[in-house]
Amino acid sequence: MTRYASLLAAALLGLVLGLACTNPADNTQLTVDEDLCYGCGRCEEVCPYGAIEVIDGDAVIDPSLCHQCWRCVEECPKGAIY
Amino acid sequence: MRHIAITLLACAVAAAATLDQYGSVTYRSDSLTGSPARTEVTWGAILETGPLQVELQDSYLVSDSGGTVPRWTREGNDLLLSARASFDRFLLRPDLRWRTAVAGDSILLGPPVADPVSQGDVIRPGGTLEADLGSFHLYGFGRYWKRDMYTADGLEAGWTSTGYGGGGTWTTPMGATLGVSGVSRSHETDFRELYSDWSRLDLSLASRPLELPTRTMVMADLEYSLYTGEDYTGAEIADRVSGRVRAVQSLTTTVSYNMTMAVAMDHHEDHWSVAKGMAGARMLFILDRGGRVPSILNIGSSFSSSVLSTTCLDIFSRAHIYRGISLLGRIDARRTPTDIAGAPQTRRSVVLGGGLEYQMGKNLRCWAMIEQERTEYQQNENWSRMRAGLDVFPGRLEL
Repeated sequence: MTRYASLLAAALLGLVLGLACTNPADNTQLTVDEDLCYGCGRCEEVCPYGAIEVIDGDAVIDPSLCHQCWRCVEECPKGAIY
Repeated sequence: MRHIAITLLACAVAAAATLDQYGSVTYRSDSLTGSPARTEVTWGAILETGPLQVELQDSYLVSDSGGTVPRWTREGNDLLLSARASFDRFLLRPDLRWRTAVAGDSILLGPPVADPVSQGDVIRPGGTLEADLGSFHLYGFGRYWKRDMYTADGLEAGWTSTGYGGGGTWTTPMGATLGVSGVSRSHETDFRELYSDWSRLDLSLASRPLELPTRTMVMADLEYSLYTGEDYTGAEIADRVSGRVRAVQSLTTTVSYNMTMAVAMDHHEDHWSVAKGMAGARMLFILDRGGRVPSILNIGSSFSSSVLSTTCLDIFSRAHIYRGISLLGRIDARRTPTDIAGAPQTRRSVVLGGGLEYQMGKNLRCWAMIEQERTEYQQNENWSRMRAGLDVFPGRLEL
């Protein structure tokens, strides 16, 4: 039963993920994936708006300062910002 | 008698003090002839005595363009002083960060067309107080930023920010974790119009790790973030619901596999939209032969999509060959957005690398790699470069 529930949850999530991948909506917030981020600070170095800071080992983006230039996305060695 | 006891206790605590140090140097060039591209030197020390721990870390960075790669130029020092003091169920963590800019590109405030200003030193004191009360965990924090800025005509200006917040989690008897937290930030400059305030309230639910047959573990979490405030365009920041599922499976004693899927939806003016999705997987082979340097093969890939999309594949291997000496190999293929003028909006790059590593117990590790990168800039660039690093852990000193 648990296995079927997990498969169903995975299928539903895959469906939503598929929608996200094929029809991304405009949004003004980048996300730092805390599972992938290891706090190297490269994003903080390259942000031209002072919008990122590494706090307690994770990069944190200030949504009011981020201008979506995506320089941090390009620089992140782990692909943790999206 | 009481004073004697306190004195003896203080002596005992002082006698139990330990000092750990660590240092590292990483170097990266843009060519095989050694044109420096990025050098970072870090040193740190941790002093621990009884319930008190003090850490000092200093890092010096020089990042420059070697010509082939358009790179954000920066040079400066980053000092972090932090402490941890635990009292019964409480933990106090004050810290102070002081970044000194020696040279570097300017920072932009306001729209990208606005005149840039140079950023000087940044000083940030802050602190966090945590409390563990059985199944409840509570915390609160506060931080203050003071940035020295210099306008194009040489005038000294300032930028101050404050941030504070707090929250708590409750681990239910069934193992799930419920959380409530809030954060508020504000910025103010005295030379340009930037009076920005925003706050966020988070409600979260995380499942307990669910163990399935075949040595598989599944975890899921869901979070609703309610924003108040505006982004740089003056538009309200949308509320966001984000969910994530992780699965970890140990295939054998040496091979493990994990998979993550995440999705986020934004809610703004009664309208829901899918904001982003992410899927990633990683497989790890570890061959640990009784305390020797383990040989590993780490294969990972991820794909994320929002207004931008990023695709990554990375493979890293370390094959131990003789008495701490290992062969290193690396493949990194990426497809990322870029703002480099003339490059395709989505830039593709592939890096192939190989090298050697030497580990001397747990006290020293040094490595060097030769890499070949092919990437899309104004034209397809293909070049070789060097990377090297040194990590030192001198060992614990009993004071």
